[in-house]
Amino acid sequence: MAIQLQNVTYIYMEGSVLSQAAVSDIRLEIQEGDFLGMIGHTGSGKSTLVQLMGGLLQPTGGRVLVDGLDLGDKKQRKAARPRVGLVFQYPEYQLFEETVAKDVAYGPHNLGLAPEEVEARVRRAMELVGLPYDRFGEKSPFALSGGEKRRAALAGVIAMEPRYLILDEPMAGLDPMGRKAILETIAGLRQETGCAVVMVSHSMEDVAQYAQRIAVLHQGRLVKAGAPGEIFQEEALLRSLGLELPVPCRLAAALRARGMDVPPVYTEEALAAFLLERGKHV
Amino acid sequence: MFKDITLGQYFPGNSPIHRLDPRTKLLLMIAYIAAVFLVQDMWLFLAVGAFAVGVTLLARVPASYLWRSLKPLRLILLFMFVLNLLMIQTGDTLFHWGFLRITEGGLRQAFYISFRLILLVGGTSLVTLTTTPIALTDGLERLLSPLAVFRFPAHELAMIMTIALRFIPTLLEEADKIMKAQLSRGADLESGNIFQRAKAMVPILVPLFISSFRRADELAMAMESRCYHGSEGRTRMHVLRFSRRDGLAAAVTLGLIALILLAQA
Ligand SMILES: Nc1ncnc2c1ncn2[C@@H]1O[C@H](COP(=O)(O)OP(=O)(O)O)[C@@H](O)[C@H]1O
Ligand SMILES: [Mg+2]
Repeated sequence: MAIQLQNVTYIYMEGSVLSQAAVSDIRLEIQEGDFLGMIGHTGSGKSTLVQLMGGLLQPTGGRVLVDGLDLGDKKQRKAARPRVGLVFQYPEYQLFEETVAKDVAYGPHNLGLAPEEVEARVRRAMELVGLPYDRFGEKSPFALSGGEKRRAALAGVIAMEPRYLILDEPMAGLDPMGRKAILETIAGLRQETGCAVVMVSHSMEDVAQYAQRIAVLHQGRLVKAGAPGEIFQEEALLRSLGLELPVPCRLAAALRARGMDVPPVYTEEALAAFLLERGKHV
Repeated sequence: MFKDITLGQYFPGNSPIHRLDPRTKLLLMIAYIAAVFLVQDMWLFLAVGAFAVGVTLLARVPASYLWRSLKPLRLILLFMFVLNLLMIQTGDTLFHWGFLRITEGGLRQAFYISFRLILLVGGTSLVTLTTTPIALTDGLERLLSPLAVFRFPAHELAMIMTIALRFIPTLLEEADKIMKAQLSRGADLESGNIFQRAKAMVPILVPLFISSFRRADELAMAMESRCYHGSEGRTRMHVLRFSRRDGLAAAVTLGLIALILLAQA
């Protein structure tokens, strides 16, 4: 069971003078339970790839399979859609209902579930994103703060209980507290339900901390995919693609440059643990 | 989903026609439209057509672009042709079958109306193909500004048009995004009767309206913070000036139209 991208290519406005491949010849697999971080410069094709995985764009070349269902086929696409939950950039702009509860219920309702099941899912999803049903259920989504709106929109997708949750820059434009809330929600959801997560992010630190695997995109091509340790070893490559290393990596490098023998680390915790351990021996 | 919609059909270029003052083009377009309506003779239609072809060549606009603007006209053209052919009953009968009677006058009128429509749409398309929307609204504003004496809001109208033109692609993009977001939440926009479909549009229209209002608000704020206060005392970055080229274009066009109408009289 997996999302499989088989040599996927996508060209916007095919046949026009402006046409260009936004995504070319990408081969990638997202296994069940995976946490894939997707990084790349603006315009590298991340959002296009996200939409291809959700079956909202049909590949110009190649195939996208979700649990073996071909998204190029209308019937199979319909069957596959509920398995893939897409959270677009600035998802709060899709809120439309009178109350938060009704808005979160929109997706489950469209799945044709029984009212009790819809209600149960709405409660669970709202709880999970930190908007308790009893306090926020009857509020208008437009009366919420920016961060709360974002969480309400996230709940709307989570309530569909997708097997694969795909998020396009879910933390963009939020304050540090809001970012943390979203990240922990995603991690918590994955732990609870075992769903796979694909997260596009510009924050190397977040990707380094949460992702099991990282895919690096550049000009529509998959430059490299691998474990965070592998990816963040390639400093020169990342720099040449306009990407930075996570702050802990850079800090470790700075310490190394001053003669401290720091092992390759890329998360805050790992670096802190090393420094603490070392402090004990000095 | 909206990628096929192209608005404002400007064809970038640097031809003599492109470089004409937009006011010249608008005024000559009016004269041209008048001529198209006044002409009542097959040969003179051909003369007007030749003029339009001449301008097209001079503007170096590919025929395919002109064709594209005429394409939506096909049905109306067919309808008008058949209507005139069957309804106008003057002159000799050419064909008679049951209650259908086609006369010489009807046939002539059917052809005239078709030519008129083609020349009309083709000619006006030439103006929009060779003038940027911004230049067009600019020209329109200047032409209408004398009406300000009668409190006609020429500047405001032009500003509204400019803003609308600027935001149409943004809105389409936004609509596309929201539609995709709701589709991935299982929205079904394609099945059901007309009421169910209208209802299914609510989750797209509500966010679209909200974001339009937000955008309008932000734009108003941005304009005010840059001291926009309407037309009063406002000077222009690009001042429209008639040049010799405009005089020449006017002379040639008006001369030709005068000749054509004289020939008819
Ligand atoms: N709707 C669209 N129409 C035409 N080109 C597009 C469209 N969306 C994206 N592109 C182009 O495709 C490329 C990839 O864009 P995108 O997938 O949005 O990248 P990212 O999300 O990594 O910033 C860019 O060059 C962009 O200009
Ligand atoms: Mg993007």
